[in-house]
Amino acid sequence: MTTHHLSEDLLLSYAAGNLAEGWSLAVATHVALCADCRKRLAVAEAAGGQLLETLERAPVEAGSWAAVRNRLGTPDPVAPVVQPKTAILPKPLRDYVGGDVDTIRWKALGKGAAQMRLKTGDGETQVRLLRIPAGKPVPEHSHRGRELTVVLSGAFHDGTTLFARGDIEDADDSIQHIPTATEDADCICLAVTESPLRFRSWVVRALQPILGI
Amino acid sequence: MSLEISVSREAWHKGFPLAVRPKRLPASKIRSNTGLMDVKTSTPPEPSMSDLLVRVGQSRDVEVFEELFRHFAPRVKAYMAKSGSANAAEELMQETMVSVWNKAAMYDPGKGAASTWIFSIARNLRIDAYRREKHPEYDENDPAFQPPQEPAADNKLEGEQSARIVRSALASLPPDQAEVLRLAYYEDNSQSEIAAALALPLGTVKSRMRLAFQKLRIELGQTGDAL
Repeated sequence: MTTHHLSEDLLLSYAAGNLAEGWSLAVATHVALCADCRKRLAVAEAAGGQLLETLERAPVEAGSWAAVRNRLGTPDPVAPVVQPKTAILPKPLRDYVGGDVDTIRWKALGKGAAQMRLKTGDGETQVRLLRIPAGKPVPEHSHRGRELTVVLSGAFHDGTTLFARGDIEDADDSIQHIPTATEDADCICLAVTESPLRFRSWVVRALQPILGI
Repeated sequence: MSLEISVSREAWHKGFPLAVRPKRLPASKIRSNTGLMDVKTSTPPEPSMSDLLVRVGQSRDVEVFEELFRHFAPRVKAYMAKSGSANAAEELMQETMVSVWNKAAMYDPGKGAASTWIFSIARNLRIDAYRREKHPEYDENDPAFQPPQEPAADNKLEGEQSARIVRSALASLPPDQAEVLRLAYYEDNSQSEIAAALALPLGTVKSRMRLAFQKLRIELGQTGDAL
């Protein structure tokens, strides 16, 4: 059972649809593994539905209904989604990896650690699966801005706090932290950070007035 | 942002035959809604919409779907118009309503009101159209899915019932909290954009959203949880 949950701002931004795809993937992954946050998400989505009800209505085109009616056919029968018998990675994540943990194409990071980058359409996040060897810290752990980490297998300590399967850690760069896998097993997690490219563009913007460029 | 969204009743009804105006709403449904709704809105009682959606899913009845269309199309179009042109909004609204028709059999009234379900379809299409991004979502049939540990009977509210509670809770929020929610859901603003638009510190925007959300959860009886 998960003990580290989604903050309200992540949950609401995800439900409202204004959270970038990379962060949304971390939210969807946690929610698949956490019944409590699914209940909270249902409230946030119900709020979206009720706010839709109270929006001022925009007039539709005169031929709108006719146009839609012409497109109403018999929907194709929904092809049953073929699900594996068991899975470590929740469905939203399997869609990005192309399968479960056994299909992850790991690239070595040194000292037994490895990563696989996942591609999203948002251009503002960097999304990776990380494998941290048992008892070892996360390698090359310098990130800027926010970082969301969801544990998929094994567990890690950050200071005295333990994060196990399904738990989400929501950290920013004001905290110096060194996640370290527990001794019993390698830890696989999903890590989402702000894209380094995006960060560099901030730095340039921030320096523009100073450098006069 | 200004939008041309005022419309006379007459203009609104022009495209629709009299026969599709609201009708045969069960008296019990009407009664159960009054007093909970924001008196300033004149929306038909919510339960009928979910009933209609279930019927569309079961019988593929075009006339029943027309009632749903009449109710939701202008709302969905207004939602789409918040982030794009009127033409794009019309197109995305039509796309949403066709998708509602196609997926109606998958709608489960126990999980949420019709408005909630249609909102999520519209939201995902808006993200796809305007940002070229996906909205990753959980799948209940996923073997990795963690089922709830408590028994299903535990305080389970029907989708419609909880939607009515959410509606009345939203109507009673302090205006500053209602404003940040509206901006987040409908103007497609990130929290930092909301903070900039309202000239407020980001922390204030976050705390208003948190308070608003907690209020909704309290009203739904979710306060006993650890969260």
